[in-house]
Amino acid sequence: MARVLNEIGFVLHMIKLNLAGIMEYRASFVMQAVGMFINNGIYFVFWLLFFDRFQEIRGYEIEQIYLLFAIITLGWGLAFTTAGNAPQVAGLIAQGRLDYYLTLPRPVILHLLFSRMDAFSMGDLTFGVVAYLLTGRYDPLSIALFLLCTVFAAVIFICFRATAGCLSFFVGNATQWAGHLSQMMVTFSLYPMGLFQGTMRLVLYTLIPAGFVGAVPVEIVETHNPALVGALAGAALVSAAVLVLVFRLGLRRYESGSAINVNI
Amino acid sequence: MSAISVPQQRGQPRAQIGKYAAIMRINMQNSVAYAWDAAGQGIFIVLFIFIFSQLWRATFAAQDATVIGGLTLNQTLWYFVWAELIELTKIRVSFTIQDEVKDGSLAYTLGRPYNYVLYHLFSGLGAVGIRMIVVLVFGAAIALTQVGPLHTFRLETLPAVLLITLFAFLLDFCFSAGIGLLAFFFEDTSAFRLIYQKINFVLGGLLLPVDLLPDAVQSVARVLPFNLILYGPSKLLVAWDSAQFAQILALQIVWLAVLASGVALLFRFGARRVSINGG
Repeated sequence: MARVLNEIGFVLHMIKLNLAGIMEYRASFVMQAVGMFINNGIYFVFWLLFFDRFQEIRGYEIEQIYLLFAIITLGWGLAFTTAGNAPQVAGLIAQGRLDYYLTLPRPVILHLLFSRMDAFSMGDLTFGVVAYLLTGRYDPLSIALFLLCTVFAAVIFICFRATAGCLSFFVGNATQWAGHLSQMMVTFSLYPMGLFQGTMRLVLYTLIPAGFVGAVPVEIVETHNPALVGALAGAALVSAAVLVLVFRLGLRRYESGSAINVNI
Repeated sequence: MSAISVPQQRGQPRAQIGKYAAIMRINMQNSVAYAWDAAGQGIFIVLFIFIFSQLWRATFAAQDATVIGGLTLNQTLWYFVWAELIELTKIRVSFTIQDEVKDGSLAYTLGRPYNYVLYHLFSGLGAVGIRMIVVLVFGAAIALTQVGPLHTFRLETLPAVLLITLFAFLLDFCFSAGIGLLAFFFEDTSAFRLIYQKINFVLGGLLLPVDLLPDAVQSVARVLPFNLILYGPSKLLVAWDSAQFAQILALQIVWLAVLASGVALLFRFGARRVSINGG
């Protein structure tokens, strides 16, 4: 237990340092965050226009879209504001730049993931909060479940992105494919899950767990179903276990780039 | 009688055209070597068209309609194939220009005998052809499996659609180059890039054909140039209309003149800020 608390403290300390780092370039940080906020807002407008014309699609109305966007953007924002290095994993492995993390007495995967912060994701964080305000669900239980779901969604986002990055251990430079997979997951998650049936639906709850970062949290906040909370927590745990397993297996194949790096 | 061949002088129109044609040809050859890279974009078009087919199938069913916004389900899906094709294969020059401005490598090109922006345009155009073919194969394959061939396709209108598509690429290039050149004035231009991309999604007709937008939004979208990049060519492909073709082409030419002038001015002002130290 003491070790877990110790590592949590370590992660929090890195987040604090990363935040101080990006605040050095304050104007750029604000511009990126605002840019992402507007970016999300414009995408959101699509659904407003769509539902303005068609009202309902496979059980989803605009209220569910507000909630879906709130969960996904806040989850994504939490994920990459804190673990901003997850999208870099594929590149770092391919370039043989894990040496820096391997030589330090900290869990490699934690250190690797949390040693960078993505300023863009701050825009997602704020957008998620604003989108939730539009849902009108202000009762404490809904808010608590919403926040809990976004934490689980963030864990799944981080683990999926990093696991996809680990493909670089096995197939060479997988930077592009890791990006594609991550993009696929978020794209599917932003649509009502009722649109997808059969094998596709199975894929979206297993290989590309888009259902667990969008549709399941929406249902949890709407129905307060404890079984679904358990399922979501389980999905987050499985995602983390898969990441650790794949990373450990991959590390055996890792070849150093012998590059001298200085992480500032 | 034999003519004495005189080497083309720099600045002569033929020499100028030959120079940029050579840039385009070289990049076309390069793009053949990297054709498999376009497969990544191919996967995206499959993803989007698959999602759109599910979404629009459900929408047509929910509305119990065979035509929405003047298009059948078959036309709607092929509309998205062409719009996504343009979106995924267009010349993404803003990152390159931003990096060249930021790391100073732009300074090395200023003394070379070509126009910096035109160089990027022709090198980008050279790479577009092969990419379009690869992505279209993926897009057409998924559309064929979902809704079959485009019922309203007319081969004789294809050259006109391709012409409008070429102008769409040029218009988009102006936006992209302009965003990249903003790096002269801003440290990072990613935010502008994201916003431009998403404006195209909504007002350009990538996610929803412009005809389906509410009247007020539609009237705004139609006076802005974004619909001329995605909506215009895609709509003409699936529902050809000679009058609309002439109107779109005229508007594209006008906007191209305006945007190209803007880019030229931006480059001129920006280049003044370049300072070269050492070698």
